[in-house]
Amino acid sequence: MDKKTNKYLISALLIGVAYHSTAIFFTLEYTYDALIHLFFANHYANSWFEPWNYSWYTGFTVMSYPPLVHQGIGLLSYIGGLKFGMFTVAIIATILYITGVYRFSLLITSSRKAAGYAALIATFSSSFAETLHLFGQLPSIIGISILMHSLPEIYLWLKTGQYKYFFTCLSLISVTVTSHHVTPIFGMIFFIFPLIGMVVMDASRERVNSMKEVTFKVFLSTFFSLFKRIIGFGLSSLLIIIFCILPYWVNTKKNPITQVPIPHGSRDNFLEVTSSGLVFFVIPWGIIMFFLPYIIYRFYSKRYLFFGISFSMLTILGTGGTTPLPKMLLGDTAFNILTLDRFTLWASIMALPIFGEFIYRFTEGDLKQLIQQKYGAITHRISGGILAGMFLFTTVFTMSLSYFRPSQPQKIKMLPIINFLNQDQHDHWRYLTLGFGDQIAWLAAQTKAMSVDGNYHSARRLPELTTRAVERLENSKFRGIEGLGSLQQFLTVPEKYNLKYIFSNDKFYDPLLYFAGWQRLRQLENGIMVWERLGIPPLSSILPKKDVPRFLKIMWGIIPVSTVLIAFFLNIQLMWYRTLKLKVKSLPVYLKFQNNYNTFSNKVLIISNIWIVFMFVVISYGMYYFYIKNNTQLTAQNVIEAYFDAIDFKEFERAHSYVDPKSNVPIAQYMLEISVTDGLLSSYAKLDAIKVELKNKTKNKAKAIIYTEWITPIERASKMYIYEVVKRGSKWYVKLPNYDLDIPPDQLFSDNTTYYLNHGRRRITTQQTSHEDVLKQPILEVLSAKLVKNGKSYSVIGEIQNVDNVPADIILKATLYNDDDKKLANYNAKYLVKHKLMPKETSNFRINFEGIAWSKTKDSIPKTFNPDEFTPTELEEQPTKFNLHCEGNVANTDLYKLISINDLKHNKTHISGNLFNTGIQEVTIPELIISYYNENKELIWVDNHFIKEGIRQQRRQFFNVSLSNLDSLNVVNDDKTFSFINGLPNEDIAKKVVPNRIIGHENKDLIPIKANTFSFIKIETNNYIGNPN
Amino acid sequence: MKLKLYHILFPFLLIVILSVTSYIPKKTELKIDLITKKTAYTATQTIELKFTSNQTEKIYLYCNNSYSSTILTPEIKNDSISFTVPNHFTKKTGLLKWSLTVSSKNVLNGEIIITPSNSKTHVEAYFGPRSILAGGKDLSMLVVVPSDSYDNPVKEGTKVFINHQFLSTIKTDIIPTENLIAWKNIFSYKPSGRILVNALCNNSSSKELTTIVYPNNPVNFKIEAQRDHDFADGNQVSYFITSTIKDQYNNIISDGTLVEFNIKNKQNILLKTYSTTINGVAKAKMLHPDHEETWKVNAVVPGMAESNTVQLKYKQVLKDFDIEFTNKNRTINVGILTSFMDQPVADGFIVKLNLYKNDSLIETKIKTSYEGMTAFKLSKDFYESGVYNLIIESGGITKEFLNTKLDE
Repeated sequence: MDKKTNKYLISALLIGVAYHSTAIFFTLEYTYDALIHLFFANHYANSWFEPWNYSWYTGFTVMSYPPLVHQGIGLLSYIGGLKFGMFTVAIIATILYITGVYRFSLLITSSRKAAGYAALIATFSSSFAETLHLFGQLPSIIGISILMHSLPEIYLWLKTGQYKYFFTCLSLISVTVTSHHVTPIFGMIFFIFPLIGMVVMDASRERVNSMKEVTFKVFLSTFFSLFKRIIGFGLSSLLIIIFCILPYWVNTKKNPITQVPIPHGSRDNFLEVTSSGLVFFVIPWGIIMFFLPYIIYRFYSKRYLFFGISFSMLTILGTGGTTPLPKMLLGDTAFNILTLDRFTLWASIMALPIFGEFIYRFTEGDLKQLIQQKYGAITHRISGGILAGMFLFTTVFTMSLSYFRPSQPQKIKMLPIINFLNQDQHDHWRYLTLGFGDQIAWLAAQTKAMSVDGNYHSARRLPELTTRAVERLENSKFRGIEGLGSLQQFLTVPEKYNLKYIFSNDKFYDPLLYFAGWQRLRQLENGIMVWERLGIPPLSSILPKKDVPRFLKIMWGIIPVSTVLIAFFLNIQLMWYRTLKLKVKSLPVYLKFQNNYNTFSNKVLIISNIWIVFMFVVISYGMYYFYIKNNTQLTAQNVIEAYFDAIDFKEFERAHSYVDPKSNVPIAQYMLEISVTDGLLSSYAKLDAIKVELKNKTKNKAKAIIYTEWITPIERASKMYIYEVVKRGSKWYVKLPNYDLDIPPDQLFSDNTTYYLNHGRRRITTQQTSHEDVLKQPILEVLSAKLVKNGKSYSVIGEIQNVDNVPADIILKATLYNDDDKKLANYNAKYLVKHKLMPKETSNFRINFEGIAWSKTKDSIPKTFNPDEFTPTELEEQPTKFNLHCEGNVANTDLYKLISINDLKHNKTHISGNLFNTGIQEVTIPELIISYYNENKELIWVDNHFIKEGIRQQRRQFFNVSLSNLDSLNVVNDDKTFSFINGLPNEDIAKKVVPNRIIGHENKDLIPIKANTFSFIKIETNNYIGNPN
Repeated sequence: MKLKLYHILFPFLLIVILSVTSYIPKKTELKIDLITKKTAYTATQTIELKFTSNQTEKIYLYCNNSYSSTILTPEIKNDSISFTVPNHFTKKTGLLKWSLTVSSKNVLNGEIIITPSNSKTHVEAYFGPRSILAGGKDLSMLVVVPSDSYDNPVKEGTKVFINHQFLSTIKTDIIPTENLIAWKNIFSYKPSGRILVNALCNNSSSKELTTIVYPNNPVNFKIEAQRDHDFADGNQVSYFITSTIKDQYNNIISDGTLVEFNIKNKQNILLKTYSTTINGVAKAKMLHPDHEETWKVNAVVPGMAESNTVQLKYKQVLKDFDIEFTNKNRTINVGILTSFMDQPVADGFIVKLNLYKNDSLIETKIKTSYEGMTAFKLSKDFYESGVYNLIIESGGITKEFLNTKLDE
């Protein structure tokens, strides 16, 4: 062993720091986690000792995550701001990682060269690149790096029994645990247990003459001789783990995670969900995959046997749901809580020493000689080139993956949002962001306004969130039914959370917001649309929090940073001096156990070659399979699916390439026909499922009946299309259906409208709005209100009129009571009401009592997606009475009423007709509110129907709606006495404002339908305009 | 024995009586009198309470008004002591109670009345609701709180002049303050408009405050129809226009009031269109039907007002049309569909083909016309050879082609 500086390590450090620290400026802010850590860091920077944070989830405690990394960033932020802190910590993490790998490899291989190679490889390792540059898991990286640093110390303590090693290893474990709690716990099992095995093995080897003589008996007796040290270490590290983050454990005990597990890609079957397979298996393994036989061969040699077992376990656990093994090993609960990608990360890190050794032997050792002997020097060089090329490719591919497949929306300029929240006391309400991705953490770090959402799902507290697998509301569309279901509850009853403002970066949610009663306020200069809900009370100035004893707060604030200081003082001379060789020190004992790198096993080489060839075959087959699956015009089925896929992704040029070339529709014409269609399906839907049924199939023609299921923000929509497909040459094509040739009556026409503007406050002041600037709430009148039971669920239905002279935005809230006046449930009107009423306009409404979905029936969460899925509240007792609180606020937007109902036809079960847009705005989503009346013209039920296509100006849109079956409907209570308008009794207002009301006037003209359960219906329209002119 | 007891008790009693009587004169030595006789002050006037006292130890003055309480320490000059009541007590009007304590014992009590100062009066006024209905039954209430510059309410019964203006009338009411405020209900007038109010007290005025008088509920009105022609061509817009809708006091109802137009067709089915009023007039639009039709139209403001019913007849435009079967009956050309002047109907006229086989409906095909023509193609790949019944509908005309044979 030379005592010179290890040039491999030095170059690994130089290259690693240069490479990673340059790259983080372009990657780290776009990662999944980095900004969350930034948010936490901001919390510590502002209130170091107070663990309660109000910004997210209506308040949560930061004691739910080990604080070291966050506190580190927080401390550094005092020097150069939060992002400076984050980048600095990331650079420190890189250095710790490279040196950690070096020390771990040196421990395992006892070869400074092999360890040097391992450090070099670690620099470019795809699993590290992914964890840092794609996931941004800083605490995890720091945790595993420090753990690797602690391994040699543990080895030395167990082997030599010198107390200085005892203290150094414990100091490092304490840093590990304060930066990441999971790492030392699993690190114990997967890194430290095999290490103990190796120590015992080494000690046994010293007792006998050769490795062969190490029998189980020898091993056992050595184990018992070292038992005291092992137990001593085990118990003290357990104490350290408990003590250093005691507040975390206390918090976990007090607030156990009772939430429904969130689906994670690492638990998928990687063969089915290939994207998860790529991210959680192929990338982290990277090139190591090709050298698995060698690694396994080495790990199952006697000395490394326990590492071999651990490595195999990690590898298996990392395969997620591909095989049933991980689930069997971990059990259902742990399988569903843990993210399994960490096992692959650890396995790939554990493989690094052996891989370093392999590279060493390949570049300058016995393997090089063997290959040169067998295949010649050229082959060795070429294979070296290929190896290096593949290695670089995986690294570059990993680093740039987020460029090809962005995991985050475009970077959003936060300043306009922060300014908006600071303006005019907007931060007195909570806000919500939609479509921001992980950037919500960056916004939250910069504003003192609070959100109902958040990005640290373990800290969720509201049952609306914890009972569902919803990471956050912000990206709820990706979480299907559960996501949108949760979001809808927040949007329908926003006053419960003081939620007034929504920043939307995704127009997908727009219809949901509109039909739940929200209105657009304005678009900020960064393109973010601000939505607002009227009539929401501001937050109270004192908010509830869960307090913890002072000693826990002090522990949380002081211990983590102290562990770093202690570890630094205890280890600095050892670590620095030994790795950089600034001072001659005695060799650590593990360097005695050197391997023999003289004769590379021929068998291993052959098996490795076979494995590499096999891997190439697998990859080639994968590519071929991919090609076949994507050959879009091979069959009639494929072309239909491809056509709808192209339409779904709005790739119209590709869609046009599937259109029958003989139908003479040039791309320009096709684009024109497509561009004029707007509506729920064409603008706000995502294709969820498609089933193609081919009929009358001949050799060259077929009629395809296509059943499509679309996810829209408001409901799951299904639509059937009938297309003809033809075969021209070897390819199938789609024939376009006829489109409506209707031309509007007028080329130019005019329309007069009344516009409204509410100044808000007229004087520019930071004071409370002056009483002269507070508008009177518009007066409404409840014309009828009933509690009805349909099937198992209860609803309150009725009719309401805006009897004021200004347009009103209405909020209807119904509460159910039993005979003893016990409150059973309350909820607001969602889709089944016109939320904006012009003066004297009426609207029928229905209020459903929605429970928190699946809170009782966790097992029966449906797999399919339906945002409009309705979970009735579970009522403990029979409701018999209800009250209804109606609130009006002056509205000035979304007041378009100019849709006429034409040409109706009906039978007992269906009503069809067309809607004609008489005005000058294009209606994007028309909603029909259909009310049912009995023979006495009394309202008995209200239902709705969204029309899938929009209505352009002066055009018609056909509809065909099936009427409800009201067999199991009965009216429980039709007493509207307990209806209140803006807090005053409805009766009093009615008498005063409309004393001479013509009773039943609004129901004088209805559509008579002779059905069994009802006699009349009434159709009202509610129009969402996506792009107001 | 009795005598003996008496002899013992008597001297003992004598000692007790003497000791008690010798103690009493010591207590009566304290002598305190109030010198200041004034009990009425105006706000901010200095209040100094002077006492003569033969003792200066442990004397405090306890003061209490409706805002707070305090304890004052005396200034001592020779045998007189004085207390100066602090500014924040003298500023507040009302009763100021004081009591003098010596050695924690209450010895003298008194009251002072502080009346509002004659400084500039500040008039705070509140007027609401911000909008009311015309007709004289609805009202806004003006509440005036006149106060002096120290925020004390002015003297009970101070006159407040309440002015209000509506159109050309300006009225003044004089209301004396009572229980600290003066108030007046201002009723709306029959016309709609805006009422402006202010309040004057001691020559100080409040801000100008306002309430909007909105028109009352609409009363019945009339409608008429307007159309460019009376043909049912499916491509023309008919207008339904209301008369100027007014309330019972002849005010034009608010802009933006929604008027519903109910249209009953020949089948007694209700069609609807909507419009909002501007200057009391609502103008709703409806697309012409594409077949002969009679509409009965009336308009309502639900629960409040309705119009007369107007009857509209739409004449059939399509008298007849040609149907041509070619390509072994597999291509059906419909048209030319001609309108009322024999021009081709406007593009988009609906033509329906109902295809029956063995009396059961197989399919309904809907096509829209282009330059008066349209064609249905029944491909042999989808419709096998055989006998079909074809029913073609357009513009209210139905044509049946029974037992049509589709060949290979």
